[in-house]
Amino acid sequence: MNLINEPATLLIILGTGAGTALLLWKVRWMAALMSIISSAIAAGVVIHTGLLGKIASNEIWEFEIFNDLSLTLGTNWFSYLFLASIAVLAPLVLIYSWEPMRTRQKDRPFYGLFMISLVGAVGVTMARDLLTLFLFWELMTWPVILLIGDGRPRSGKAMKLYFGFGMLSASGILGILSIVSWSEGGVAYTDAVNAMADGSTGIRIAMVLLGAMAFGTKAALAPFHIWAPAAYGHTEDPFTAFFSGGLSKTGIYGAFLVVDVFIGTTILISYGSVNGLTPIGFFIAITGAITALIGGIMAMMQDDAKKLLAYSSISQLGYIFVGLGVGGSTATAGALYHVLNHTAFKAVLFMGLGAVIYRTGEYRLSKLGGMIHVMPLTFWCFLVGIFAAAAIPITSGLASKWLIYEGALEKGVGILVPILFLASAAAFLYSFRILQGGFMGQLRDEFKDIKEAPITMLIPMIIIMIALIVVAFIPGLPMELISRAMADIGMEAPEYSLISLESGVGSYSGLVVMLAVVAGFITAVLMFFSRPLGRHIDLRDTFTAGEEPIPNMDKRYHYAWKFYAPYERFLRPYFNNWIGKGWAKVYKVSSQVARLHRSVMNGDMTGYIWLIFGAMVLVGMVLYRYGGWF
Amino acid sequence: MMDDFRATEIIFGPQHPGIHGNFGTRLELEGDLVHRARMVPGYLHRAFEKLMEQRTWMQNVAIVPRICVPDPDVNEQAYAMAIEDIMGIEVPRRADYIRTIILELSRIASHLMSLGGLGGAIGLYTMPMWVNGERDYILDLMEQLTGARVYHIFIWPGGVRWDIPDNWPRKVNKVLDHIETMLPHYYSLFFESKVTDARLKGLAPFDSRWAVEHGVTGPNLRATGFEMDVRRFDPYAAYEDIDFDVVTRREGDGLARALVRWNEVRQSIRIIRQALEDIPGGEHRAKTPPPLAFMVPPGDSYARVESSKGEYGYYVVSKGGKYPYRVHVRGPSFTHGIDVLEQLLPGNEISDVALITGTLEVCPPDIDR
Amino acid sequence: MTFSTTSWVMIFLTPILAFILGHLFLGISRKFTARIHRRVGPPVMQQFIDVMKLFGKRESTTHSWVQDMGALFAVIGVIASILFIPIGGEAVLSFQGDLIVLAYLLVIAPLGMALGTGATGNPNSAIGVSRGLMLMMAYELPFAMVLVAVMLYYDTASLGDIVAAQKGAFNWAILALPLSAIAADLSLQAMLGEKPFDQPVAPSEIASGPMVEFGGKYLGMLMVWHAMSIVVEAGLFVDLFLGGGVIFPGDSVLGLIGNIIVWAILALMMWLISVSINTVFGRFKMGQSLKFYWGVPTLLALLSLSYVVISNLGVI
Repeated sequence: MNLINEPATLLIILGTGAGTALLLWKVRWMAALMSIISSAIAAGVVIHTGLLGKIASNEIWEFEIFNDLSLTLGTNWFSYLFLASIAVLAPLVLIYSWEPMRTRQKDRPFYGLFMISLVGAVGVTMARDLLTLFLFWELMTWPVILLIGDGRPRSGKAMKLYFGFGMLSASGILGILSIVSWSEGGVAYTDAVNAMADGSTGIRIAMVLLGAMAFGTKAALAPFHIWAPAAYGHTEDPFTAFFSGGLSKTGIYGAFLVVDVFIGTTILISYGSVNGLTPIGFFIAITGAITALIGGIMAMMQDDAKKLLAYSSISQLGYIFVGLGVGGSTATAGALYHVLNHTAFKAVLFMGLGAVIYRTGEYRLSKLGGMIHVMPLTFWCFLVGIFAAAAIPITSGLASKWLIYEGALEKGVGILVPILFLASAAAFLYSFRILQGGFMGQLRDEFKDIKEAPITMLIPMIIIMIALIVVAFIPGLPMELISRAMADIGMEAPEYSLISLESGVGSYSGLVVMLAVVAGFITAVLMFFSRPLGRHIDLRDTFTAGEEPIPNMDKRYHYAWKFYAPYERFLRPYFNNWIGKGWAKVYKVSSQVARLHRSVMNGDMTGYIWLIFGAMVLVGMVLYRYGGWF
Repeated sequence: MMDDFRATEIIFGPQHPGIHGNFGTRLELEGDLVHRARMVPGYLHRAFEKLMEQRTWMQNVAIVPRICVPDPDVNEQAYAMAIEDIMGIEVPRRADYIRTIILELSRIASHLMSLGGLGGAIGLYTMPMWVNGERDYILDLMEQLTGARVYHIFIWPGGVRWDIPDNWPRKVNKVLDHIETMLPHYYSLFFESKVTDARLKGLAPFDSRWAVEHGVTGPNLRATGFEMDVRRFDPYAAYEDIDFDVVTRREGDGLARALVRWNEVRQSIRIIRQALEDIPGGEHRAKTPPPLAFMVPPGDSYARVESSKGEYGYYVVSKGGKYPYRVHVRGPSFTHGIDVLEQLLPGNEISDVALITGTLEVCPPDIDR
Repeated sequence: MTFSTTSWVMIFLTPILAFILGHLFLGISRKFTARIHRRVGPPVMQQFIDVMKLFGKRESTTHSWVQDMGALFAVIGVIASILFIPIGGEAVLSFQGDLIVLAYLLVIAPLGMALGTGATGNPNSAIGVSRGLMLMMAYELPFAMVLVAVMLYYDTASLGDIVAAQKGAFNWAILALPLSAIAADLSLQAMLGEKPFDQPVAPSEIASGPMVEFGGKYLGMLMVWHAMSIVVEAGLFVDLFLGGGVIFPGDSVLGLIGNIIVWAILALMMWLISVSINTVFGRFKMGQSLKFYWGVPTLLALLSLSYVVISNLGVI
């Protein structure tokens, strides 16, 4: 395979798939098959290239569209990490979509839109100049909007929110683009690096803020996160796995691009540092930590399972921002590790939940319950996903959070770690809420006869579940990729071996931890099976304080509504969506500005004259200030 | 009724560690807040009122104390008072004093038990262990005097069954001294604790007006600042000769109810001391027909006494003959345990259900009768 | 990753030691509480008898396979976490996974138990579990600050290194970071599930919550978990603040045994402090315990943490 053309190969494969799926969208199975095949081939190409180690970091491939305007593409190990996590996830989600999409979504080309946004996401990771990045970014963002409207109440609002924040994100990238092209006359990444190296403090800060606006929005960084619960909560179920697991990673990629590539450690440190922690880094880290906390606490209060997972996604991405902000080898490695982890476990969580929704048609936890009795395999996959999200050591989830914690500790950031601990306590709370509400408790009579999820839905989940568990034994495996990726952005990876990770302050040996767990397992099993197994009794045959069972016991004996009521009462006032209200204010002001604009553009001559006069004064002032003309 | 999916129904009793005796509550929860409570009494329904119509007047003396287990003597007193009123019996003064002592001892025992129950409801198990130890001394005293620990069957129409033994007042004083020295310890264990404050203060408050409307009596009413005590306003036994304070509090919340009970223990000690000192000589029993031939002339009477739970009333109707025509018992827990609780529980956390029941001092057998 | 013979022996002995110590601690505390209550109390060995009785039951009932799994998980988690706690200065596995790993390992058992109890379908269990998790979130904030303060103070996240650093006379962390120690002890109260923070099992509120559907060997598994988790949590405090009980030079077997005995006595002391608080307090409500933990203990822990951070910066 010609390495130089490899990015194009990938895009052509995926683009073909996208085109076919879009054209043949009426023939649903054809569209599905084409997209599965093309994305599987693309994933194969990506894995193959990665395994061969044939990532040419400095090769750039140019594709001229017309005069002067060309797309530049290329991959290095750093972008490969993101590319791989997205490209490998896509076929799994597409296979998973086969069954649920057979009966639904007859009115819009699900697979076509999916594939276009996949092409966009892959393109974003491969772009080598800001303009290409922008084009692919938009290609990735806009198809999704058609997948958001799922017909539930408030999905229109979710669409609007996604649209608004999509615009915000786009204008952020345009802002970066204009800064770079204005100061360097080019839009390549190297120009961006130069622009930052030459630029003043103000420009650097503008870059960080615009980066937060552009990429933080996609990665749901507070305060740009409020679109995410709405949008994740209202997309088509199968797509949500990719939306949250895959597409959000492009935002992380962009954030890394801005902080670690464009600006770079050298510039960051030039503003002073404590233990290698820079002011900008601290700012990003603290924003990330607050995002993690807000996400966790909001997730804990949700009854809508999809929104719960959406907020959880916000919380987990907050951890990545902490890793990015803290910087240094350990925390950065942790952040990149968490990118891989989050892709996997958030996908499996949304898939598991999607399977439950597919079988029951119900997404509110208070109306679910008892799924362990009818969907045990789905429960296992979901449980492992939850364990990974809560960083329980028997899955790979701990390794990444551990690295982030240790990175923060190495730098002596005392305040970050407790906030993160609190966020992870919130993670236990929301994890258990979704387990209890959805899978445990009483099984409704209506759901007594539902079947296990179809095999096409189970296989992707089981693949990811096995990956999550295997990596817990060998936490060093993803570090192979991460260390190369870090080398490409000029950082050194922390010490690691296949089975253990080392940081400046401690160590985590995945194999030993797992062996301890296995030892505990053997002891517990010996203890447990020394006695005969328990007699199985019915769910309704339960403690009712000596009273006869109640009517509607399957519903009224299931405790899921307001599961954490005491905390909701206590925390609601502090987390009562004040960020959302702030955005509503922004929206109000901007619509007022628009109204002003409209009132000027009403055909009345006086308005135009005033406008022209104002513009002339403004231009004159600018010219006076910068041009020295007068 | 709430939406089946949002509501959780918790069955709170009768087999529940948090319930006071043999009745239950069905709680409809929203989250952890009680949305609707429905009391389920009847587990102890033994048809006492009906049963009494088929037993002789004197046999019924053995039935009435079973209507309230923790504080049984008030039943005997009220029943005896009603019969005495119909028959026009003049009770000897000495018997009145003995009755007062017994009633107050019983009140102390009952209040201590209920305060211990409050301790149990908030998980402070040291409190029930300690105060029930003191209650046991009182039961010992009762055993010495009456031969029985719980159901004494000692107050008869016309007086008490026998006179107090010679060494008994000394023993009573000794026990009271002991209780008095221990009370400050229990006070600091329970009332001076921040946790008790946090749990009881502002718990299920109501004002006097609401209380009177809902038939609240006794310590629960006095905790709202309403100075109502049958012992003071319609004195029976020897209370008119004895100096004591009617304990009231203003707040009307759980803490006030507990504190009223607490201070009444001290008042009861004061009453017993005075009664022991001033006890006159003479007969302990008026002249009455022999038990097997005990007849009550036609007539009816209502007698009321102040129990540790509230106002206790007996309405006795006689048509002459060996058996009562009708005995109606007005127990304080009937209002406290059914109507008041059903009104108070909604809006409270499930953690407080047992505690509110405890502060109202609901005694399930007297609901069921 | 090389283990000496002592380490191997310790790895096998630790769970057994924790099992025995845990039940002994519970037995002693039952006697201790009974004496405060002015009772005689059960014999010290009562806890062993109880567990044996529960495992000896001919029949026990289960609502689903997840309930079996939950009972297993509880014991798995506690055995896995005891292996990462240095006992008497002997690090066991604590160099293979540091405090952060331990903090997450500690969660396996409660989460497993929560799974098992949730599967029984009884709302009392569900409320109990939700309370347990909420309580965890309440004490996690001060406790995390304590952990971070200790880790930053000794500049290591490894519990083995923290214990080693406290070797010597008057070198215990409780003297260096007294405020942290107080905050940690306050958090310990909730971790051990003692009053005023025993809401998860409050009998008079939710009929013993999580345990309500457990009987026979299932309850036996939970009791084993409870007993061993006492050793884990009290032992964690001893390792963090009381020098891990290291008094004798630990290179000889006799010294190691002496150290283990000192460690056990210190852990018992922490447990009895908790039990004596337990006997004289009632139970807070959920919101009240959150307010409590996010108040004074957090403030103490924060003060101590800022002291450590500032002194690490070299200002003081």
